[in-house]
Amino acid sequence: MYSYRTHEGRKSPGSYYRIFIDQAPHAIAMFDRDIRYIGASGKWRADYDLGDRELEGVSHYDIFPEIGEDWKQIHQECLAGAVNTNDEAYFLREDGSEQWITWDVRPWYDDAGEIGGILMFTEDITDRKRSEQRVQNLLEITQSQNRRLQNFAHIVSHNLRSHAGNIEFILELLAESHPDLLKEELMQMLHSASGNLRTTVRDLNEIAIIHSRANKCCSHINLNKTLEKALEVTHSEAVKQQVCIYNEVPDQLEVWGIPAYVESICLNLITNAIRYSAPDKEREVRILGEKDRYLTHLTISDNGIGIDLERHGTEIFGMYKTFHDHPQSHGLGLFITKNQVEAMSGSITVESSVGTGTTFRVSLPNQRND
Amino acid sequence: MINVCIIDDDPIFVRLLSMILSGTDRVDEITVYKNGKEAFETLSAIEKQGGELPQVIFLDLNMPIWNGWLFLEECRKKDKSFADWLFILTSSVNPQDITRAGEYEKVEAFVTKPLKRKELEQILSKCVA
Repeated sequence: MYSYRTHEGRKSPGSYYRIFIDQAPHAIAMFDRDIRYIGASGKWRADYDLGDRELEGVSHYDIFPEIGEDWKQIHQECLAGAVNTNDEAYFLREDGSEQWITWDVRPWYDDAGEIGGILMFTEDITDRKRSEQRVQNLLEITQSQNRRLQNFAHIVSHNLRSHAGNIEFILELLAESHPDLLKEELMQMLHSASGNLRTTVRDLNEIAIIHSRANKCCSHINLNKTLEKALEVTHSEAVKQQVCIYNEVPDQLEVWGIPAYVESICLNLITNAIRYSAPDKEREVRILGEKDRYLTHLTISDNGIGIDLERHGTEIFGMYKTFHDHPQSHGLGLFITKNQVEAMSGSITVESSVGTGTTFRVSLPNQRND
Repeated sequence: MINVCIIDDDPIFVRLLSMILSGTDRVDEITVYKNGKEAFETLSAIEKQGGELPQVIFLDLNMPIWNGWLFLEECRKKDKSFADWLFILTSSVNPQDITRAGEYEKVEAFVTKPLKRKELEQILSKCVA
């Protein structure tokens, strides 16, 4: 049994609170008007390395001599009735260790309604703070690496263009001044190698500029209007391949992004869906759209030849990867699509099985988010 | 006959361009500067002494010391043009560069390398006419 009566027959200060404090699972301490301990929870003792030492009647300032005037000021304000809180306070302890703390200091009242002292509640958030900092550091490293990589891609593609351009230029002049040379097989090979180099550099450049455009010229884009445009462009190919395309995307659906990219993504996925339709069945492509709170999802499915994802899963969005012997496959389309989707903070996934068809799902933000 | 100025740090390209320019019968003098600063300072000096300035400038963008943008910026600041026609002639295909070039009224056109002989003929016929 606890007895809080003193021999004068008066209740000891804050006696009602004390039982709660000692047992509390949080770091709580109770002080009298002179900031001397009345009680402290086990968690408080643990957080501040107080062990089993006697606290009752001892001044908080004697235990922590590093407590400054600013804190004493706060304590005095609370003794005058104020409630002070801070979600993230930084402390450098006497032994050099760092601590981040969430704290709450408020007065407690005795039976007569007078302020009897203060209650402190603290939570040591040092671990959480440290992991936040680690994540932040990682993010900064990643961002700066990404910037360097983009910069590198720009320089490489620019310099390659210069040299490739010179070679092309020399070949053109050579062909003019020595037309006979063009009959040489080696000369023809050089010519086509130069052409290939130019194509590669153009591809590389196209990718290098995708990310540098992000965050600029974003707007609300009506998904259906963009799809209709893409369907118009691909109409003749769809007719030729006898593919029925069902666009079931709701009219009002919008995405937040770069119009040229959204157009290119729609066009590329529809072209793919038509191109890889199965030769021996009723060919159809189904386009669906839906939105949740933050994202708009676009799904483009075909019932075509499919892709063996077990084998090619990780490579399907890679550069220069082709999985079908199709004359118009360059292995760049899905790579560019993925880059464009990601430049707009979106994501793209694929499901497929050989002989049944392929479904691409693109998720893009449906509102500004910065 | 016109006087042409090439501002470009790539010796191979400069040599090739000079070869075609001399091959046409429209160009009688070609001056080459390796970067924007060299060009700006020399052209300023020629102008000051009342010497003969070029009719056409071909300006590369990526160059050491002063790149093409700095040259354009300095010309704008000092209100100089040095030539009747200025063409940007670069390997850059960056849309941002193309947009930016449009902001300088002295820039006649943005021409991308590799330069084709036909393209060059068109440019020259425009300038000589």
